[in-house]
Amino acid sequence: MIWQIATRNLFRNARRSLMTVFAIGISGLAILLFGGFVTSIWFGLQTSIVQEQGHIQIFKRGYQDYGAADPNAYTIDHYPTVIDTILSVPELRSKVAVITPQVMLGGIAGNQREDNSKTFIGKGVVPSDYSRMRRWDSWNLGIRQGDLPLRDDDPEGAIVGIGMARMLGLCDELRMTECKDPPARVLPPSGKGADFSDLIAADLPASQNRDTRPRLDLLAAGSGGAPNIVSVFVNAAQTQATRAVDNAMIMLPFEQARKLLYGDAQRATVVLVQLREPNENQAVKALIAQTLAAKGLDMEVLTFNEVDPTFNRVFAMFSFIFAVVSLVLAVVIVFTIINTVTMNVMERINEVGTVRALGFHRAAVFRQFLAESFLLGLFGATLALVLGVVVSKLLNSVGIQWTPPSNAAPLTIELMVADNLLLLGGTVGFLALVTVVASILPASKAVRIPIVQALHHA
Amino acid sequence: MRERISRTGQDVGLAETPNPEECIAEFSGVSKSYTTGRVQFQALRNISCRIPKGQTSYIFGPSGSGKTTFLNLLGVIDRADNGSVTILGTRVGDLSDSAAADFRLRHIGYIFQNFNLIPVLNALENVEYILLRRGLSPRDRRERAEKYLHAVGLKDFLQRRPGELSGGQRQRVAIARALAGEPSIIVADEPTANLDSRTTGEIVDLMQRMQDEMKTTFVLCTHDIDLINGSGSLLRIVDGQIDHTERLS
Ligand SMILES: Nc1ncnc2c1ncn2[C@@H]1O[C@H](COP(=O)(O)OP(=O)(O)OP(=O)(O)O)[C@@H](O)[C@H]1O
Ligand SMILES: [Mg+2]
Repeated sequence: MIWQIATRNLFRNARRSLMTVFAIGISGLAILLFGGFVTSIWFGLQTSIVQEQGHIQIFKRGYQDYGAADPNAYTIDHYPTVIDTILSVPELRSKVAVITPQVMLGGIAGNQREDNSKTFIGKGVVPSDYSRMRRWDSWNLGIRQGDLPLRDDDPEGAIVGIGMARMLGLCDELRMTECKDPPARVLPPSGKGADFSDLIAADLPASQNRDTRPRLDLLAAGSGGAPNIVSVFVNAAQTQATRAVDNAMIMLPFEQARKLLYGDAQRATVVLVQLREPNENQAVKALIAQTLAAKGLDMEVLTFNEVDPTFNRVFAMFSFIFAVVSLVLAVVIVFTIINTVTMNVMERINEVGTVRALGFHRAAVFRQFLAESFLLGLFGATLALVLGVVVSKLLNSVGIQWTPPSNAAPLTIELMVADNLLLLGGTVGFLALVTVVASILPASKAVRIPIVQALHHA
Repeated sequence: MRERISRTGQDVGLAETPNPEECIAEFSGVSKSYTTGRVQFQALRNISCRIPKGQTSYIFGPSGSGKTTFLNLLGVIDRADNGSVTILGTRVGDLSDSAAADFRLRHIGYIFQNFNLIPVLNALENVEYILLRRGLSPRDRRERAEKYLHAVGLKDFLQRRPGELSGGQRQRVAIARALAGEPSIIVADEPTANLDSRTTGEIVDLMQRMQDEMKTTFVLCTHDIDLINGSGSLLRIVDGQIDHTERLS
């Protein structure tokens, strides 16, 4: 009967109830949309990171701390052993989607034709593996980054950042619209740019001299400390996530990079592991670490967010904003409800007195008011759910894009509301809780009025 | 009767009240005052009296004399400042709030001047509502509510909400509600003050008939001497004191 009375009382003040339900519903809508956005960041950002870096990264122990200063000492000595060891465990083998080595390198890149040179940071990747990683989409978000313009059968191909292309004067040659080569330079009288063409001319197969793509000569310190040089031919320039990286990035095939640094040694900076399933990072990480240790390989096994906390930070930032927004909306709801319930209570003080005179406990009357607020909250939450699903579908169909801080390419915002049970349930619970909490104060005031006084309130 | 009451100052005290065994409630040395701002007003002064069981007691007196205050104490919705109110052997002033609520539920029925029905419930539900806490099955609740509503002559109005009933009909619902709890005492504070004279007569007759049939104790307060007919006893309050008690026959 408590619910019967509650429902009827709400309908009795239909207009007021409706306004309250709308206030709750709109607030709930805001929470849902923002929550959907944060969820989409969580999944979308993770997907794009996993597409680039895999879930788990294996380094030689100490690389994270000291590797930058002494890459040579902190390089995996024989990466095929690491890969084979991991794949020899059936459980790991079944869980791994891609396992691939990479070489990180740094040095000077020269464009002989423009007489131009610049420091670079480079990444040597296995083109086919890398392209395969980029197809990972186990959350079915439809995030596609397209294949890398590098191929296994093109060992001298390379990709540079757009900034890098600009500074080295490759824009025209690459027929790029989004960048312009530097204005013609006035060379100092005696000056000549870095030119190590003599060093390489001998190494180059004749065919490469006829390649039409812009050529870059990469100079880096080999494992012994002696400088070494390879030439690459730039296939394309692509935007990188940050300006600093964009201005210096060169991506080249793994073998080329490996040879440049290590000659014949089967060394690699890192082995990336991409898993088939999204939520197995910790378990697989532990198993890999254990497997490698058992084999006597002293490796550091890290998840992508341990290597680079950007994801955690971006997500933490949006979660914080989400929490603040929810809190503000909660305050709005609380005041709306307090207002409504206070009005309901004021009108019914006489009824409170009557019911208590008839022998109902304070608590029963209190519960009655809470039940009414709970219903308001429930109706409001239902409205929020309906609006949330409809509006998010509408917005998704528009296809708004944004570029997260850690990404090079924009992601299409897919507000995850409709299929996000946690968010939906959480929002309903949150709204119901807030409305009930908000009615505690006015309701408890009402039941504390002495009966005689309440009855007087005609 | 008007004549008899006007003979004031006679036989004041407990002399004419029944002996304790036939008593359902006893006031002894009860005082009650109200404070408004800095002014204290003594609404009841050292009242002692007994309410006989199974009859109608009329509390009569001029406006502002303290009748409602008296009834509030008897109905256990207010507490005395001094003295004690004992109902069915329980000193009700000592009960905690929730024990007092339970006591009211079991022993007290109310009929209010303004009917005080719950507006969102229909006649039947209003009566059923107070049976909720009695632990009756829904079916027993319904049967009992119907029985009393039939008894007060509202057979055809069970589904009407208070807003769809006349004042007299509303008060009938309220009477059915008070009776349905089958309480030991039914207190009624000016139950006919908001009704026209014909309806007043009907309601008074109804209460008398119910009292006759069920032998419930009715305590009815009024400042309208015309309401006082039939048997029972009469208590007159003037300025917060009982200045006359009398058996009516
Ligand atoms: N809550 C209150 N605060 C202050 N004074 C009160 C309060 N209730 C009653 N009084 C005063 O106490 C006195 C007795 O009041 P009470 O309501 O008992 O009178 P009554 O006999 O019922 O009068 P009426 O016939 O007009 O209903 C009155 O003078 C009234 O002004
Ligand atoms: Mg009164």
